[in-house]
Amino acid sequence: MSTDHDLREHFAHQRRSDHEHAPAWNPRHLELPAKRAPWHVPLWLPITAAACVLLSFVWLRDAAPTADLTAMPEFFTTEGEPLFASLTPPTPSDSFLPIHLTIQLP
Amino acid sequence: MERETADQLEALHPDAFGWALHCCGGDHTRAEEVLQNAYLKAAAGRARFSGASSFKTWWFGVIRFTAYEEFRRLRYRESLLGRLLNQLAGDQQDPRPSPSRQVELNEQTAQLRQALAQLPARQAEVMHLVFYQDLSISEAAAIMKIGLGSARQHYERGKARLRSILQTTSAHEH
Repeated sequence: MSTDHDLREHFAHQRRSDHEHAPAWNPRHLELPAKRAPWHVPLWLPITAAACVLLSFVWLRDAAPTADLTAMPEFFTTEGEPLFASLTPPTPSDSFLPIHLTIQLP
Repeated sequence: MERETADQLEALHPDAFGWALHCCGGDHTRAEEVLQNAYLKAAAGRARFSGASSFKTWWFGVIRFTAYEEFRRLRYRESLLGRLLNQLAGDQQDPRPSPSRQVELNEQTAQLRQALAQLPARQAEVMHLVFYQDLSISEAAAIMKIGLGSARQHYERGKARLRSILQTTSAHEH
C-alpha cells in the first residue's frame, strides 16, 4: 500500500477540496416534503347541488303551460258491447278433438 | 426516521457528497440533487438499512443507484424533447463544471477528475471508493454490486492506468 502513496495524496487533496465545497448538512434534508392535503368535497356541496336541481325541476314544471284537458278530444270511447260479442258463435275449435278438450267460448 | 440513522447520515454527509459528485461526473448541481433524492428515499423508508453490510456501504449503494436513476431520467428527457430543443437552440450542455466552478477547484483536483474521467466507469468507481473513501476492495465490490474478483481486476487496472495518465499529464505540464 505504501507504493500507492502518490495516488492517495491526489485523492486526499480532492477529498479536502470537495468537503470545502460540499453543501452544509441540514436536518431538513431528512424531512419529507409536506404533502398537499387531499381535497375533500364538503358535504354541503352535493346536497346544495341536488336541492338546486330539484327546485329548478319543480319550478320549470310549474312554469310550463298546462293543457286544458276538457278541450281535448275523446280518444277512447267504449260502446258498451259485451266481451267477445264480435266473435262467431261458439263452435268446437277442432271437430276431431273429444268434447272435453274443446274450448268453449262464452 | 430513527435518531441513530439520522446521526450516521449526518456524519457521512461530506463523504456522501463526494461520492455523489463522482457518480455525477463532477457536476455539483446534479450531485446535490442526487444526494437530496437519496435522503428523501431514506426518510420515506424506500431505502432501509437491513444490517447486511456496513452502513456506509449500504448508503453509498443507495446514492449510486439514485445517481443511476437520475442519469436515466436525464437521458430519457434529453432523448425526447430536450435534445431537439438543444439542437434548435444550438447550445450543447457541457457536463464539466462551469468556468467559474473550474477556477474554484484547484489544479490538482481538476487534474485528478479529468484523469478519472478517462478511465472506464468501473475502474474510476473502484479508485474513488478505495482511495477517496478509504474503503476496502470488498466493500467497493458490494457498493458496485460486482464480484470481489472483478473488483480486484478493476482496481489493479485502474490504478495502473490512472497513474500512467497522471504521470503523462504532469510531464506535459513541466
